[in-house]
Amino acid sequence: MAPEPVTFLGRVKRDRESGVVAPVSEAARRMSSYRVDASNNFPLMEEMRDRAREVRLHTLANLDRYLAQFASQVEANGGYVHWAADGDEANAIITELAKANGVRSVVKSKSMVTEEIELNDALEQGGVSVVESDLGEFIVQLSNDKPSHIIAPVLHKTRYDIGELFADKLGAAYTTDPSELTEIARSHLRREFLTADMGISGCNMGIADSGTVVLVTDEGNGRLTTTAPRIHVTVMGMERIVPTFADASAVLEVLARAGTGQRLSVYTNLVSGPRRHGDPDGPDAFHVVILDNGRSRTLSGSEAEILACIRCGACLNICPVYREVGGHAYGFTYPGPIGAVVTPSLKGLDEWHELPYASTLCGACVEACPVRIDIPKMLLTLRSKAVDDGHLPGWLTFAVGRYASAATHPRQFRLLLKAGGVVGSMMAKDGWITKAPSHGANWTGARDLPQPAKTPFHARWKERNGS
Amino acid sequence: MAVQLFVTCLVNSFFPEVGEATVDVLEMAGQTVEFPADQTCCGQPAYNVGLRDQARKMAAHTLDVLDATEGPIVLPSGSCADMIVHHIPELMADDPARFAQAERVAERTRELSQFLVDDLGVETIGPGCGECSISYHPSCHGLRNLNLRSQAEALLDQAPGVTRVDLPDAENCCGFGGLFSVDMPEVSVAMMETKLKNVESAGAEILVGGDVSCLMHLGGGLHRRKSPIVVKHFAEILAGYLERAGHVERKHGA
Amino acid sequence: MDRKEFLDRVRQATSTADLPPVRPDPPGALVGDLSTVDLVGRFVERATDVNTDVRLVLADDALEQVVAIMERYKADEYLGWPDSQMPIPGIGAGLIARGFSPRPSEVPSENRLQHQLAYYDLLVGITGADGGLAESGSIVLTHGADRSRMASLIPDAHIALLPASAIVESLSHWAALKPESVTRSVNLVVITGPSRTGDIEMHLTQGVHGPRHVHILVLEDR
Repeated sequence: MAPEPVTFLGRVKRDRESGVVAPVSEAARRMSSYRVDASNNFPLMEEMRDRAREVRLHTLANLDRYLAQFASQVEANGGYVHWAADGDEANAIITELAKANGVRSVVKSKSMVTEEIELNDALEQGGVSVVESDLGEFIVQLSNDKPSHIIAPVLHKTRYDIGELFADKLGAAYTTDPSELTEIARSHLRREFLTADMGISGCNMGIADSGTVVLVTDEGNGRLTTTAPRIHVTVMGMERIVPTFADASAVLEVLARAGTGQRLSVYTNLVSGPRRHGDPDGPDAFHVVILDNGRSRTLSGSEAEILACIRCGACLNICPVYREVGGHAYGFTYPGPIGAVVTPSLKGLDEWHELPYASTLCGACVEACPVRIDIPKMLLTLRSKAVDDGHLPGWLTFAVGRYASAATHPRQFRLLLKAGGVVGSMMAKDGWITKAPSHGANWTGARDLPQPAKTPFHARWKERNGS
Repeated sequence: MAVQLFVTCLVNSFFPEVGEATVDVLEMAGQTVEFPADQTCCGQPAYNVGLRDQARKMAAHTLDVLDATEGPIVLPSGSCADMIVHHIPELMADDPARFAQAERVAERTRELSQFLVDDLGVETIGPGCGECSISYHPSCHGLRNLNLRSQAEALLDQAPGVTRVDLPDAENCCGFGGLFSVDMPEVSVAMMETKLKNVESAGAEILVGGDVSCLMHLGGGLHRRKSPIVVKHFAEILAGYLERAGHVERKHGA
Repeated sequence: MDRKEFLDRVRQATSTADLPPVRPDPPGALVGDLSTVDLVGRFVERATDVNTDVRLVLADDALEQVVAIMERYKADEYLGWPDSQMPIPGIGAGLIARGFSPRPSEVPSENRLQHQLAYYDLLVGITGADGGLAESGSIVLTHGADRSRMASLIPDAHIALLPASAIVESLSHWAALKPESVTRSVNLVVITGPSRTGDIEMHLTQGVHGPRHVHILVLEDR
């Protein structure tokens, strides 16, 4: 396999050339239209978005208090709470848990946060086998790939790719029929579920006053993961808290509508601890690993509001950049507009300073976001931080600096426009410049540039008004 | 009270005819137009790449020039109007005197179609185009930040000779994005190609918009692919500039 | 990291967080006024939207309906809740009388895997439902003593008996009216149609890990 390109544009080039972007783009458009239909068919949608936003912001502002309440409640319910400052700590906690309990096999339901901390690698290095159970994540795992969308991980693969993969890796008869492919995965994974020692899930929300973990899935893998294995471990980003079930309901009312256009996802699963005496089934032990991994740093600053995100994927689906580049270009677990903020915010700008620039600031994401997170505003703030850290390309810094200098001296500015007209007339043919030198080629590589006016507006105004 | 025209740096340098059309349309609407001579650039290019100190200097200059005038400030650009209305006050938030000035100026600032339709109540204006078919691209900042959802389209629909056809996926960004267009040209151009496919499928002979920045990008793409479709600012269509030498021949200063 | 250290760090962060003004108290559910809506009618419409088979039945006819569905799947056994947990009496007893056999629902901790593997090929699960949500066509199940979670999860088809009187307007209404339903047992699930996926080319397929078919018998009072 070729090494991962280190730049955003390098990854864009790779993925556009390999053809993986087109199906992602098509699917994103369709999901967006489902969101619009679902919103239009729900008279309370706008009010509910406001309510969900208020719930998320109220929680973030009081996060320490609600986290403490949540943890105490989980313990009161007979569960265990673990606190992980970063991914390494979380992975160590879970690997230790597995070892201490003689766990040989783990089944996982879809979880972005465990992707973020690369838990699977850690477990496998610890000698524990891990099976992803979400159909898309299962395909990702079998093909040693990465998800390209936060709620639909293998949009970048065709049914033909998946047919070959299942034939190759599972020894299944080759088929390209999605229903048959799903059936193959169902029967393969069913045995894994029913015999796994430990189930690991993510968490859409943690309800503070009842110590409940809320898991939303369509396939049922979230329920199986939290029911069949004897140990259930939830990995929860520390911001996933809401105060009460009633607060959770406001988020649930917008989550599926914004993501896939469903009124509710098929299974909204609320787990409040290990099985109790008399319960016929369910796990014997329940653990919650609460993860910081950069979140407290994010919370402390100008991107705090991004932690209100409910991971619906609406901003990816509507984003005109995501639609052209797909998910892998963003280089980390969280793609699209949300990723352009989350990744540098969690992992730092030194490595991820390109991402805030991977946007035209068109604002479509804010319009789509069910909790109205002002992503462009945060991208702008991150850009100014990137500048402070010296990450803006030198030629841009230089060019904008010169322009700014002229723009604060009106006479210089008018001279600049005049000079532009003169130079432009030397370079242009029939009113167009088709090949500009230096970084101007970034424009003229695929677009012609209109010739700057020989007589700029300010001069025409003077002529027009005879002064 | 006279209208203060803030023409924008891009119109000033590349598209002076759009500035002239703007003046004509405003005069047709019964307005007296003044042009504050020392205006330059609102600072958006610097602001958008994160060069806030530079942006603040340009914004301060813009505020000084505009605050010295009276009456509505009108721009033939949704994006630059958005900068003045929303972002300059944010930039000046830590300086009470500047912030107050920014608020005063923001209060007076309008994009052209917004001024005509929302403030003046204009329903129809200008001689129109003789006979032309157009599609309309609503640029993002005007659309989403100033809520320009129908004003220019309404004026165009009432203009003599203008037939407007729907642009598929009209609200999808064109990919210009200011310096994004040269910082991430591959992505910018990919977005442009998507937009141009829709422009071509709409089938109109002219692509009309309210921001010359997006139009420069899309027009440059159309010209590169030797498309017969040309781009125009809506002021040019309304003011009847189609028959005059304009972008099509690009004989500037002729 | 220990709890105190972790929470101190979070507290520190909240003190400088750049957030818009927030409400002082938890905002809670937003319940719309659906008082003029025919709840049963809307429930049927919305459940049908998500490919659930919904039938309005009189309590006395429920057993016959269950039997008919069992026969459709050619099932002679089922995994279910005992009569004590069902909204109406006599379903389990009636099924046994008709020759159907219930599978044991108890999964003992010591022999978990064998018991669970025996569920592999189950065709039908039968449960009650604590409530219905008209707006989304969902059913609410709380689990606890004697209430198998697997019954609504593993079989090919899930049959749920829902009293019409237990249908409320929406999830928000349920959460506002019955907050204790979360803590009464360790597992509450809201089910909105059969298991599904769109992961392969967004092609909608039913029955990934959960039931391919959901049948809801809405029990009318008379």
